[in-house]
Amino acid sequence: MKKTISLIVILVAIFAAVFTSYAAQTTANTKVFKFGELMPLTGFGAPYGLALSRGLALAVEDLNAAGGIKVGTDRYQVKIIRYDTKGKPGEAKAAAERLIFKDKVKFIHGACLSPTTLAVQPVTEPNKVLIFTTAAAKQAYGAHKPYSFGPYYSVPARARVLIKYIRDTYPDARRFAIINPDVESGRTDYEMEKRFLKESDFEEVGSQFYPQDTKDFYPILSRILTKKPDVISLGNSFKPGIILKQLGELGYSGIKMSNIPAKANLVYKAAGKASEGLLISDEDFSSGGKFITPEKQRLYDNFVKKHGKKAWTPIVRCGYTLGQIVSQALEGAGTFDTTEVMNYLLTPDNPIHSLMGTWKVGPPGNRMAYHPIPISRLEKDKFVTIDILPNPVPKKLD
Amino acid sequence: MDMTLVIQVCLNGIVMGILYVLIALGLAVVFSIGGVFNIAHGDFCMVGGFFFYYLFDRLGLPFALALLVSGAGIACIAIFIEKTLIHRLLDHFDAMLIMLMGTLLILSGSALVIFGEQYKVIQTPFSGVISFYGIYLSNEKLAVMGISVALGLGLYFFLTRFRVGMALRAVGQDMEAAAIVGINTAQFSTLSFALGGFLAGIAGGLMGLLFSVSPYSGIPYLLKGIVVVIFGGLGSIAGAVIGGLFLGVLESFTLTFIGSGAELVSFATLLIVILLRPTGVLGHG
Repeated sequence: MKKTISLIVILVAIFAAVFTSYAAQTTANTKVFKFGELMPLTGFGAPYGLALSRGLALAVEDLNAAGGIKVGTDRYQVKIIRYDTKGKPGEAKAAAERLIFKDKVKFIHGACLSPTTLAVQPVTEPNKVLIFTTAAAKQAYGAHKPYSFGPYYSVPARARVLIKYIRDTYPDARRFAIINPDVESGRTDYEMEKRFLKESDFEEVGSQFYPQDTKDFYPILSRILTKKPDVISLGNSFKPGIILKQLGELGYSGIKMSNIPAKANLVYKAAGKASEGLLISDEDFSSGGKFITPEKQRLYDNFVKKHGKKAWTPIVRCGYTLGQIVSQALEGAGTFDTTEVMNYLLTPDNPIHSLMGTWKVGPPGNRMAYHPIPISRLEKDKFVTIDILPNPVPKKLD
Repeated sequence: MDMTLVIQVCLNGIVMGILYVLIALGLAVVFSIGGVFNIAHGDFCMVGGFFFYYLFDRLGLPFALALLVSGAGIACIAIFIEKTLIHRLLDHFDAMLIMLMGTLLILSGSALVIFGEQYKVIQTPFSGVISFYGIYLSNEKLAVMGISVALGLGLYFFLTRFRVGMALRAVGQDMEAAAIVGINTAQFSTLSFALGGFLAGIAGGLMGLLFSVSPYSGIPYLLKGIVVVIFGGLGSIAGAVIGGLFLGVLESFTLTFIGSGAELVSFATLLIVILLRPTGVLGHG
């Protein structure tokens, strides 16, 4: 009996030793690429940050399922290291320091909002960490910040294409008003829209800024409506539904546009019929239609399976797209050296294809992406894509 | 100046003013009868807004029932707080202030945890707009005004025509004398809290219907209420009505013609009123 027990113990020990050494070997062979993420997952900007983050997570799942990314001769599984900035610059900066110095990350998705992006750049730029952000503030990009990319549609490009679309589609519309929150991104949005209005021969009338926490828009809208605008842009407003509801109650039935993505069902719920016809430069895969390719449909279906229909927003596809862009840039550059990856992204003819189309960046010296821009219109509670327009790289940054 | 715009701005201001009156009435009732300046009142309104959102928008209760239940729900919370905390601290002003501050923080913190940080939109049951000579008034605003005015009148008749209401006023005017003539002042203090809570719940629901509900709206509601009750005279219900309407119209004009700084103008006006008449417009010395 004693002999049998001893034999079993020895066999178990041998098995454990072999298994441990095999597991250790397997771990050593599986290389990991750490992709940092700084997003507002709670607090101000959370819906935006969550959607971007979930989009990237789905892209990473697809990449890892396909064997990871091949950089040089090795394959790497992608691991996201995510921190919540809560939309606060201080938290974002501290998290960026953690990502760079503790987690040794060289590529970051974030920090999403303008204030948080501007707060992390003093840490990321000197350390040559590549960041991919959605910040609307102009000073977040440029030759002075070489490691910061705007990988989606730049906000100015979206606005320019949308304003031109309105010009071409509604030739009788002349008078244009803009409302924006009184924050950095709102001011930036206003300045660029003003420029595009001139380019498209619109007359700017009655533009207004409002404090970020405003709920009662009746006073500023009443004032704007006395100028009899044909078009009202909601600029960078985060509460399009509430504004459209109040606009409708004040009798406005003209053309409406918004420069930031919104959830169609929420806008429609808040404003009802007053929201119908709202134009945005975005594409909602949940609406179907002739522009939805099988690849887009697959992303939507996967997302719904994981998070449910209610959580879907068109912003998800931006996060997903980033996964495609970064993986192709790393594979193309064949290195994790951020300067070389940056140069690869800046070289005009390098092939990078994503859900948003072929990667184009510019203007020379700048790092904004210029993908074709979809134009969608709110019809009941869905944004229906009515066209996808070219988005040429301008000669100088908007 | 465009007269249509002026009338529209007045109308916008009156709607806001009526809602401010409703918020302030709750504060005034609790102060004038219970003798407590309830700094958690704004958060009562905010939680009332969320109650209404869930009852009406999510559970699909009829509008009136959802609004009444929201008011009743906040009244219950108010009674609980009055019975368990305020009642014990009536003679300790500092402790009561800190306790009310704690209540405010607990309510706003709980709302953040339970309801989340994002604002919630309530789908209106009153679609459509009335227009006359270029002036617009939505059916929703009309309904909100009607409900608020009905509540205000109801409160007035309750306090002036009903025995319980008159007894409440008696407690507010002189608690000792009321006790001598056999009125149970402790019960009436609780009743004033219930009444204040009910009004806060309804005000929060109506504000939510017009503008959305958010866990951060408690303090702004409280500030509006404070300006209105101090402007009108602490504890004066008629003063709250005048103060609310004045503040609503003043803010509407400031926001329309100056752009921002409505709060600055409101508080500056309040300071001037306090300097000229420390007891407020209709307050007693």
